Parts: sequence; C-alpha cells; structure tokens
Amino acid sequence: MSGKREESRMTMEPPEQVRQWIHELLGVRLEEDRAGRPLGAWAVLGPALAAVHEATFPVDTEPATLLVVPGVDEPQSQGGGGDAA
Amino acid sequence: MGQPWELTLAEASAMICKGTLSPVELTRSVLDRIAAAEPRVLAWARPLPEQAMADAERLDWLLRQGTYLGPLHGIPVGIKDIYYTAGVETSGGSKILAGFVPAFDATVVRRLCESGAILLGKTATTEFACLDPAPTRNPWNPAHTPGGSSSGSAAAVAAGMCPGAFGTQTGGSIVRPAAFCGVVGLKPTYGRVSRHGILALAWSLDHPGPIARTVRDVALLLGAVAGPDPHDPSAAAEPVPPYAEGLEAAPRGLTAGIPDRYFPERSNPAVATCFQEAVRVLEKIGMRIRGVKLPDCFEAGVEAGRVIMHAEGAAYHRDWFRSRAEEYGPKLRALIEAGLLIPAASYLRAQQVRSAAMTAMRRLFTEVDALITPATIGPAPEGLASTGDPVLNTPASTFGLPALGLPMGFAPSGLPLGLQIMGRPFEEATVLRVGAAYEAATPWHNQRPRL
Repeated sequence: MSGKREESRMTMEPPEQVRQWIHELLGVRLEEDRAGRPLGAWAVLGPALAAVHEATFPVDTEPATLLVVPGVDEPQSQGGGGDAA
Repeated sequence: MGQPWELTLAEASAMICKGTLSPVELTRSVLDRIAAAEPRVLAWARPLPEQAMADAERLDWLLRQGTYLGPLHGIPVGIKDIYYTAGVETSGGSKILAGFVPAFDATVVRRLCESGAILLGKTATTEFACLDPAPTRNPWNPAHTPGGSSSGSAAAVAAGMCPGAFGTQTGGSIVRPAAFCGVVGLKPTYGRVSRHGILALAWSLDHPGPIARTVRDVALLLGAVAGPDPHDPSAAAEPVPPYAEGLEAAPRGLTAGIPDRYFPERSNPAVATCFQEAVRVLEKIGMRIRGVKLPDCFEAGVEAGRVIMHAEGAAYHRDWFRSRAEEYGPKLRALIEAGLLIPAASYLRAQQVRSAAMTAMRRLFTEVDALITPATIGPAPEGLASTGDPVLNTPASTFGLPALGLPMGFAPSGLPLGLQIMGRPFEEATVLRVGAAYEAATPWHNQRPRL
C-alpha cells in the first residue's frame, strides 16, 4: 500500500488544525489545560493509528457492521448532573 | 450445608425450586454476608437491602401461591452501576452522573426481574467503566486490585456477597476481574445481550455479561437475559439455546486451538505453567489440542479496537466534557482528549481493519471449535491505582467473540489465575461446555478467599 508509511508518520502527532478545532468546539485548549497529557495519550494512540494505517486489506472491505449510535433514551437526553442534561 | 450465602447460584436455585430454601432466607443470608465482608472489600456502590428484602418476600409469596418463575426465582444479584435501574441512582462511578436516577430499567435488569431475580444492589465500577479505579479491593488480598471495570461485581461474587452479578466488557472488564478474583465471567458475543439502558464506553465494543462462581451459574444468568431487543438494534435475533443444558457432556471430538503468538509471549511464568497444566487437563478429558497460526492482520485488528474505543468514548462524552472536563478522572479524561483528535477517516479505517480481522478470525474457527489462552498476563497487580492489563482480553472484545474466563490455579503469591476460552460468534454453548468440563476436572472453583 504505497504512501502508507508517510500517512502513518503523520498520525503520530495530533494535527495542529485538529487541536484548533477542539479548542473552538469545546473551549478546551489542550496544551494549556493538560500540561502534556494529551500528547501522552497520543503516544499510546499514535502507534495504534499507525498500525491501522499500515494494515493491508481488500479495498472493498466494509467497516465493521457493529457500529451503533446511542438512541434518544441515552443519558445525554435523560438527564444526569448539571448542564449535561 | 453451610450458610445459604455459600451456595452457588445453581445450588440455591435447586433448593428454592424444591422448597428447602426460601428467597427470604437466601437474601437475608447474603445481606448478613455483605454486612460482614463489605467493609474490607468495598464492592458495592449502592446496596439495596430494604428493596431486596421486599422483593424476596414477594417472591416467597409467589411460591406459596404456586408460581415459580424459573431458575432465577429468588436469586439475589448485583448489577454494575452503569446499568439503568428505575428509581435507583445510576452514577457510573462518576461525578458527572452523581444523583442521576433513571426512569426505566436496562433491558438486562428488566429481564432479570421478570425471571424472578432480586436486585441486591449496584456494584462499584471504574469511572464510566473506563480506567479510573473504583475503591474496591481484591477479596484474596486487599492490597491488590480486583481488576476492572466490573470491579465490584467480580469482588462481590468472590467474597460470597451475591451468587451472581452482571458486568460489562469493552476491553477486558469481565474476564479480567473474574480471573483476578477467582470466579467465572462470560463476555458473550457482541449482540447476544442487549445494551439498552447501559451507559456506553464505546458502543461497538460494549458487551454486557454475567459473573458468578461456576460455569453453570453464568449459563443460567445468560439464558435469562440473551436475545433480541426492539430497543437495541444491535441485539441479534439469533436463537437462544438452553445454555445450562448439556453442560455435563464431555467435550470429546472438539478441538481447541492454542494461538502461536500474541498470547504466549505476554504471559508471565506462573501463568504459563498453570496454562500448560490446563491444556493437559483439557486433553485428558477428551479435547483435541493443536497449535494455530493467528491471521496476519490479528495485531492490526487489535490496534483498530484501541482507535475505536478512543473515538467512540470521546464522541459519547463530548457534550459533558465541553463544560465539565475537570470532573473527569485523569485516565478517562486523557482517553477523551486523545479520542477527540482522531480524524473520522481514521476511525472508519479502523472499523475496516477490524472488519477484515473479524473475517479472518471466523475463518480460523473453521479449523478449531475454541481458542484457549490465559485470561490475564499475571495475577492481580498490587495497589489500587491500576486495574491491570486487559491485553489478553481485548481481541475477543474487538472481534465480538464470546469469551469465558474461569479459575485455573494460583500464583505463588496465593492470588488466583484464570483460563480464557474463546469461541465462534453465538456459540456460547460450546464455550460453556468446554469450560464446564474443565471446571469439573479441577478443584479451583471450590477455593474461596478467607475474609
């Protein structure tokens, strides 16, 4: 799978643009708030992403069909504490 | 007979059916046991003694009227505190959901109650079934973790505080704590048991399942809750066989495969020694044993599971995390933060890799009826900060395969070790049959911690 090596290298670091989106969406500035922890977590996740991007499989492979999203009765809409309701 | 709390679930069930033990006697006995053992184990987030006794009296009355609801009639069970329980707080071991009282029961809880089981209480869980630990201690040695995330369920069963309990597994959260606590845990096939009304960690990896003292006990619990559910589209319409029947049949003619890699190199020497002896026992009782080569994509598939867990966990918690990040424990917080950074294309690619690995694993099961491995890399680690390494359990979770964990001996430290038996999707009956035969040929399930 040509080009995968370069792609996997890119996944070893969270893209700056993605960090910016997180900041805008969630109001969380990772570098400031977590003092290195996101990069630490990424150090675990990065190799996993690299393995995923380096894996070879038939091009017509469908994503696993176990994908199920929560229904309306999940706690986000049921309530819980504070403004999470 | 000793005290009723010492009975296995199946033994208590048989006595209730015959009328030689009443649900009230059994419930009172386990409540007394909780009073004695709980201060040292801390397995319960929320015991429900008054509600349990009221239910026991109602179930006694039903028996007197001639109504017997089945093998779980009058059996007290613990439920991990991520299952919705109508009118009973369900906080998932978190600050975020502190005070949250669901308006309905999870499908598993509803089916248990309809089968005559008694809700004894909510068992302690790691925060949102992830990695930040519960206060629970290992009944075999309180200086060690009981494992997690179903920490309270496994510890409560091991300590005799309930004959059965339910947990969930996303990575290794049923089989691992069961192994660390010297009890039996079953992670069913994905879709075998409804997830409706259970707090998610990662939707496509979450599996509800039972924990008890024997293989027959988990078979009885699974039979009560398995099957399709209109509230959970992932709950499969596959037939639900009578899991507790045919467990006495020897596994002659069945073939167990021992993986060529991944599992052996991760197991410590004490585990490897016990595992070799377990293999000898299985051979002695009639199983064919052979080595098998795991598919080339196995490791990539397992790594895909890690990506999926981070991405789905982050998506699930995103809205709470937006405003209440400081209320999360450090491990779950790190998972969410990392998961939020995963591009959608990478998540979907991970699901593709997983799909390819699942197909390859199903092909492997045309050669063997079961895969056998150690349940954990070693005994329960010392300390409560970590719930131990789930690395031997994540493959079955990622590929949706049924996996049974059961006692296979003890480490030199006196802590229990577990055997893991994996099977084809929806062939829990085969996995249970192999496990029951191994259990009948070994003494390990009869050992109890001294509390």
